[in-house]
Amino acid sequence: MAGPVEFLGALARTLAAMSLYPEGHASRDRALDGLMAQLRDLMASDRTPAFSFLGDEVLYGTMPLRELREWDWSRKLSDLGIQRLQFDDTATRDDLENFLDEVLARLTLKAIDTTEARQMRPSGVRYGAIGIRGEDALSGQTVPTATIAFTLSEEADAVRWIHQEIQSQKGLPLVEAEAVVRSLSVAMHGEQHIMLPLLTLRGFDEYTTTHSMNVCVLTMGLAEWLGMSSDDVRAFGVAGLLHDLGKVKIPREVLTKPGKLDPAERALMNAHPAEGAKLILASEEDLDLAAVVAYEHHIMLNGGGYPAFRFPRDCHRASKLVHVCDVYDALRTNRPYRDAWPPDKVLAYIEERSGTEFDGTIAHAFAGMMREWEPKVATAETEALPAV
Amino acid sequence: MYPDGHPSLMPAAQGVVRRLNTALLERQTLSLGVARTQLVIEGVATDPKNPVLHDLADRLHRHHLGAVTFRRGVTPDEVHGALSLLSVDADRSGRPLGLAPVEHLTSWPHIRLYPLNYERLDLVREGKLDEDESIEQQEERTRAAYLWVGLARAALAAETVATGEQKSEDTRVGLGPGPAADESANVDPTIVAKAIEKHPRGTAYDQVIVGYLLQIAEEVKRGGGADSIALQRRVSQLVKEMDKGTLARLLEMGGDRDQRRQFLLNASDALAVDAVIDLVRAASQTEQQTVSHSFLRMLQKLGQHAAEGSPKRRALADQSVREQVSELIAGWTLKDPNPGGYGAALERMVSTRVPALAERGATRQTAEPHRLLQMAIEVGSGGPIVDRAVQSLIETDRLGVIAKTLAGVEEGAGDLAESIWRTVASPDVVRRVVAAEPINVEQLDVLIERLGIAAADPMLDALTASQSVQTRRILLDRLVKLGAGVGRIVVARLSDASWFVQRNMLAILAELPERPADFDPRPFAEHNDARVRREAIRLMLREPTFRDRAIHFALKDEDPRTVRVGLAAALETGCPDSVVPLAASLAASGTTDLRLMAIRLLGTSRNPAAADALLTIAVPPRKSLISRMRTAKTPEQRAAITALRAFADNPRVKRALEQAGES
Repeated sequence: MAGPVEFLGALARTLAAMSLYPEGHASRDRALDGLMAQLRDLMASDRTPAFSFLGDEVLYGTMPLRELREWDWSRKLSDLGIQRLQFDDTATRDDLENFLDEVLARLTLKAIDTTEARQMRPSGVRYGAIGIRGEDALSGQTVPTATIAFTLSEEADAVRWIHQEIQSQKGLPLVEAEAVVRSLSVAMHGEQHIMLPLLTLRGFDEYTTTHSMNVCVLTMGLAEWLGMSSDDVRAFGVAGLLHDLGKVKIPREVLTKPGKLDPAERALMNAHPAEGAKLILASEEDLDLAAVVAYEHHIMLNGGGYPAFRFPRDCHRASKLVHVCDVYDALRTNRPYRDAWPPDKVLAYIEERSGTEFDGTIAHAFAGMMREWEPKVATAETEALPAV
Repeated sequence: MYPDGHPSLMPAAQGVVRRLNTALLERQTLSLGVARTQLVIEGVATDPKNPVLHDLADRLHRHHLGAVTFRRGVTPDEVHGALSLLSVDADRSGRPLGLAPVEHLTSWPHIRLYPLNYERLDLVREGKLDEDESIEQQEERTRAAYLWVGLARAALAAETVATGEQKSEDTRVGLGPGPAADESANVDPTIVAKAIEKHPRGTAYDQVIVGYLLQIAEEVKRGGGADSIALQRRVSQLVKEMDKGTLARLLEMGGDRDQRRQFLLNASDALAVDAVIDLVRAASQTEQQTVSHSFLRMLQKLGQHAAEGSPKRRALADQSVREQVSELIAGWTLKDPNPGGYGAALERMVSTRVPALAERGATRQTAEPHRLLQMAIEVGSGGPIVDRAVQSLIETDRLGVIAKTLAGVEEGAGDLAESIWRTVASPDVVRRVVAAEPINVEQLDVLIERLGIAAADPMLDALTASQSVQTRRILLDRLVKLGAGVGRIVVARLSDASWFVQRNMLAILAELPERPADFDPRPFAEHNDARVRREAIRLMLREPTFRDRAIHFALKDEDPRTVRVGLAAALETGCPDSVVPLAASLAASGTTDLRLMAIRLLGTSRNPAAADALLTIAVPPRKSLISRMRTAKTPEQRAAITALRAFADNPRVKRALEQAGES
C-alpha cells in the first residue's frame, strides 16, 4: 500500500524541513506543497484517510502499515498526544500547515501564541488521542465541582459593550470595567470557599470576550493566592480584563481569518499589545497598571515574545501574572485541530517553561493554585453559568 | 438685642427689604425651606457650619416653622413685624409660632410663615429603651427620630404650603380621614413617599424635604446604632417607593451640583443598595451624565446579590455597589470641565470617606513612572497616564531618568519626546530644582541644556534668595555659561534691587564674555554698599575703557578689600599716572599689607612723584641720610628701597641707594 506510506514519509520530511527553515522559505514551501500533493493523491482513493499511531505500530484506517513498523515518528506523534490523525475532503494546505506547526510546537515546547481567535475555525485536519469508544465522552468531561447559581451574561454583555465603546472611539469606560471585575469577584467569593467562574467558548467571535473574562478571573485568583491586598487583586483583575484590549484595533477579518496569517497580518496581530497600551494611555482614567499589562503580557521572562523592548527591562509583576493566566486559558480552550489540553498537561507545560518563558515563582504558584482550586472551577458558556 | 421701638430696628428692616427687592427682581417669590441646621434657598442648602445661617435656621426651627415665603412688594413694616415675632426665643416664651393660631402667621400680605404640625405625628419607637444607653447613643437616637419625624411632617404638610391657602386644621397637615388619621401610618415611608410625589414642582417644601434628606443621609452615614439603622430602613424604603420622576425632581431641587453629589455619596454609603441604584438612575438624569445600560445592569445584578445571595455574597455585593457608585460619582467630578473648589473638596471627600478608594490610592502594585515613560516612548503615544508619570519623575527628582530615556529618541516617538520635554524643561521645573539645597547639578544641567536662556530667570531668582555660597557659585557658573544673552536680563534686574541682588548681578556681568553695550557700571562703583562697589569695580576692571577709572575708584575707596582689588589690578599692568597721588597716600599710611602693595605699585610708575613718595618712605626725615639708610629698616622701608631701584637713573634716588649700599 504505497499511498499512505508515501504520505507519511512526506509528512516526516516536511516536519524536518519546517523545523529547519523559517516561514516563507522556499524549501519549506516546497516540502509543504509536496505533502499536499501526496494527500490529494491519497484522497483520490480514500476521501477521509485516517491514521493511528500506537507506539511502534501505524494503522491506516484499520490496516497496519507493516512498512512503517518501528517508525520513529509513530512513537513521537503518539507521545505528543497525536494518536489519531484524520483528514476530510475540506482539508487545505493551510490546515495541514497549522497541524504541522502544532506538532512542532509540541515537539519543541515552543511558546503558545495566545493572540489568535482563529483557532475555532473549522479545519479539515483533526487529530488527538484515541481510546475505547464510549469512554472518551466520559474522560473528556471536565470535572468541575463548584456551583454558582447565576449566569455571567451581564458581565459578558458589559465586556462586549466596553469593546464596542472603544471601537467607536468613545473612550475607555473604566467604571463599567470595574463593575465587571467587582461582579466577577463577587462570583468568586460569594460562597463559603473561593470559586473560579470560567467560561467556555461558544464561537470564535466570542473569543476575546470570553478570554478576557477568564483571564480576569484567573488573574484575580492568582493575585489572591499570592496574598495581595483586595485592592491589588481588583487592580490586577482590571488589568486582566483589559489585557487584550488592543485587539479591537485589529480588523475582524484578520482576527478571525480562517487560515494562516501572512506576514503583514501577523505584524498587525503582534501589534495588539502596543495598540492596547495606546488606548489605555489615552484614557483619562487611573489605569497605569492595565496599560503596562496590555503592553507586556506577551513578553517572556527570557526576553522572547513581543513586542521587543527598546529599553531592556524586566516585565512588571502584573504582566507576568497575566501572561501565565493568558497562556493557561488559551491552552484550555478547544481548537478544531486539537481539544483543549487537560489541566494537568497545561500546568506541566507552564512549569516546564518556568524560568524561561514564565517567572518561576509565579508559574509554580499558579500551578499550585490551580491544582488546589481546579475542583472549584465552574465552567459554563457565556450566556449561562449553570450549577454543575 | 434692641427693645421694640428702638430706632435701630426699622433701618435694619429696611436693609432686609433692599436685599429682598434685589432678589425679587427676577422672581415673584423667594422661599426659604427650614431644616434643622440649615436653610434651603432656591434649591441650595446653606452651609450648616455658617454660624449666622445656622442660628437663623435653628431659631425658625424652634418656632416650628417649615418655610418662609417673601413675595414681591414686601415692605419694611412687614419685615419688622415678622422679625419682631421671630425674635422672641421660642424656648423661652414656650410659644412657638408654628403652634400659634394661624392668623399670627398670615397677617402680612407679602410674607408668610408656614408651620410644621406636631399634633398628629409622632415616631413610633422601635425597640425598648436601653437603660444603659450612653449619652451619645441617646443623642443619636434623638437625632434620628427627629429627622424622620421632621421629614414626615414636612411631606405631609406640603399641600398647605404649596397652595398658600388657609385650610382647616385637619387638612392643614394634609391628613384626611381614614388611614392617615392613624398616627403610626403617618410616618410610614410609603405614605410619606406618596405625599412627596403629590408636591407641585418648585414649592418651598420640596426644598425642606431635600434639606431633611441631606441631613438624614449624613446622619445615617455617621451613625451605626439601632435608631440610625431604623432611619436607614425608612429612608431607603421612602426612596424605593417614590416614582423616579419625583426622585429626579427632588435631586434637582437638592442644591447645586456639588451638593447633589455629596448627597448621593452619603446616600451610597448609607441607604439600602436598591435605593442607591434608584438614586443613581435619578441622579444621572439630573446631572446629565450618561450611565451606561451595562453599568446599571451590573449594579442591579450586584444589588440582587446584595439582597438574595449567601451572607458572604450579600456583604460583598453590598460593598461593591457602594464603592462602585462612589467611583462613578468621582468620575463625574473628574469629568467636569471646571470642577472648582468644591469639586476638589468632593474628590478629597471621596478619597477619605470611602475606604475602597482610599485603599485604592495606596495600592502597592502600581506601574513605575519610569516604566510608563519607557513604554510610551516605545509605543510612540502618550496621554494623561504618561503625563502623570512624568510629573511623578519630576517631583521625585528623577529628571536624569527622563533625560536618559528621551535621549536619542527621534524615530517614531520624536513628537512625543518633544512634547514630554516641553513639560519637563520648563522654567517652573528649573525653579523647583534650584530651590533645593544642595542643588542637583546634574538635573539643572539637563534643564539648562534644553531651555537655554529661558532657564535664566528662575536661576537668577534662586541666586537672589539663596544663603548658600555653594549654591550661588553653582548658579553663577551656569548663568555665565548661558552667554551674552543673559546680560540684558541681568541688567534689567539691577535697577530697584537690594544690594545683594545688585552684587550678584554685577558678579555675573563681570564674568560674561561681553556685556550689553549701553550698560554703564560707574554708578555702582559709587554705591553706598561696599560689596556692590567692589563687584562694580571688578566688572570695570575687565573693560579696558573703564580700567584706569576702576583703579581710581578702588584706590580711593574706604573699604580695604576694594582698595586691595584696585591695587592688585594696578600691579598687573602698572600704575597709571592718574592714581600716583592715591597710591602715594596709601603707601604713606594704613595697614601694612596695603602700604606694601601701594609701595610696590609706586615702583611700577615712572612718575617722579612716585619716586618722591618712595624716598619719603625709604628715608625718614629726622636722621642723616647715611645713618638713616644704615639703621634697621621697616618692611615698608625695605619695600620702598626695592621699589626705588626702578628710579635708579634719578640722581636723588641713585644717591640715596648708593648711600644705603643698595645700588
